[in-house]
Amino acid sequence: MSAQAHGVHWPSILRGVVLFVFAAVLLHLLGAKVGVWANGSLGPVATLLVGVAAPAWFFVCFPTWFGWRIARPIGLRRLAWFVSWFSPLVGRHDLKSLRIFLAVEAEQGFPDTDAIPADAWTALAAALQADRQGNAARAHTLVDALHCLPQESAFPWLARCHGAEALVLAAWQRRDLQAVLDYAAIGRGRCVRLLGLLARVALGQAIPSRVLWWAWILSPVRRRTLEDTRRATARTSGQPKVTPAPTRANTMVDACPAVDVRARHVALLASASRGEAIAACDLLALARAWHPLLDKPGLARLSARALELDARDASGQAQALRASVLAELIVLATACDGKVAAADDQVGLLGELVSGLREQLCQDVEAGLASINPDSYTPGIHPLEAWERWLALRNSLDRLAVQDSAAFVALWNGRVAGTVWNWTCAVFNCHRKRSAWVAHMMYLWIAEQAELMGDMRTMVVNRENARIALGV
Amino acid sequence: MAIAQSSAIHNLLLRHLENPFLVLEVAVTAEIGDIERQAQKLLAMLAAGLVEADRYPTPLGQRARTPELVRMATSELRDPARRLLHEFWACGWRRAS
Repeated sequence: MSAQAHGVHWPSILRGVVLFVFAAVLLHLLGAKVGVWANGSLGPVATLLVGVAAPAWFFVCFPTWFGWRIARPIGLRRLAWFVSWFSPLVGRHDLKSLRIFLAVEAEQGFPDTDAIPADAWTALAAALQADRQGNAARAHTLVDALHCLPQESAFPWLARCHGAEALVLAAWQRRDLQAVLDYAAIGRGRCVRLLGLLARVALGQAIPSRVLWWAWILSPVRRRTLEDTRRATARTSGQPKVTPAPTRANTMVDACPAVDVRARHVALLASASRGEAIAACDLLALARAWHPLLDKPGLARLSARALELDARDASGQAQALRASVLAELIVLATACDGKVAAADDQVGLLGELVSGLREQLCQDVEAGLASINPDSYTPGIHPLEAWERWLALRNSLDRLAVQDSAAFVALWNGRVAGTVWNWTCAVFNCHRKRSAWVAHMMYLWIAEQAELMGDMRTMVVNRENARIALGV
Repeated sequence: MAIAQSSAIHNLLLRHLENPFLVLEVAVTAEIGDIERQAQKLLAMLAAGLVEADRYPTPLGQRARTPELVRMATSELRDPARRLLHEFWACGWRRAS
């Protein structure tokens, strides 16, 4: 007999019966044993504690506490999953995803099966895997998406607590304080709170020692964080001092105009590579500084040197060098915060940078659209992968909207709305329940964008689509 | 920052830090004969396991030097067009440092 016959989900019924029996036996044991042992000597408060609070804690919290705080740290992940089965805090849909998360955490990777659901647990597993592989950009993209989930999207408390905790701990171990704070933003629980507070103190925020010590006492990672908490409290116990702004990537650009533009260019690349934000004004200043080296006299000097070196097509080599510098500036510009534009951006290298950036962003959107072609969707593309492709497109569109809103509107009305809409339908129709979490998010995004564009029909239909996806 | 942008920036930075003039620690005006000699010297030192050869300075700190990197740097500087590019970037770095 199939697990789901005539609309009845037998595993759920079995789990419900087991949980009921478990609760009944627990209550019976406590009532019988403690009641007999106390022989009527317990007061009202003690009776309430023993008869109500303790059984409630045992029934609701004990299985997950035991599984995640006792069994998981000593490597008994199967046991952790098994006891989660008994917890009313874990929904039946989450059990499969939870098992996948535990496998990824144990560095076993995602199982080779199509039956993996796409939900908060598996998204966290993908983020954890990316973080461990050193793919910080992918991990941050996934965590950012989880941070901005629609209100209706499920993000179980247990996933916020233990899933985010694994990410925060990984970032804390390599002392990546910014990542700790980013990951802690989606997390809940005692461990996430303590590490978030310690990261804040390390970054200069003054937090009272009393708060830190309470967070440490309540935390499940006391032994590992004792020294860090001591240091943090020592730092905050002195006279409070104001913290200056962090050294920005443009220090070299602005403060040392005598430094060669090539060194400043590489310094900016190094800042961007560390994940630091690059201000558009810094990039524009750099592009202006490049001008004397790559204008006509500068190119003539390069051609002369190419002739000295006996290079073929000397002027072509000089032009190629200029093009390579421009290409690097465009790559830097794609990582910029804010709009790259200036009053004098119509001419020279600056003009080419601005137009090249727009072209690059449009190409990124085109590449994103090509990756979510609904006609080429196959069941082999997992809903999580479909979601990540959509996230990449959404990031490209966000950047294009900042740089060139007219191009964004044109692309949205021309191709984006229809393609993303049909892509989401293809994913949802193929995977139904397993893709409901991601489909709901994607439909809702289409509806929100359509509302901003004034496309009421698309908005209404996609809100309904989102509702249907949520209700599956 | 998107994944593609992040890796593109990282690769660009890596290319600059592996500038052949930095890897071989030769002047931008060095003749190809001097460059070949320096490369042979570094390869011999690396083969002998001398610690002073296994790192090279860059304006962004020390980096590991391997025989493959030395061979690649030499071959890059043999090509006049590639040398022009590396010379152009190395000039700025030397002036800055």
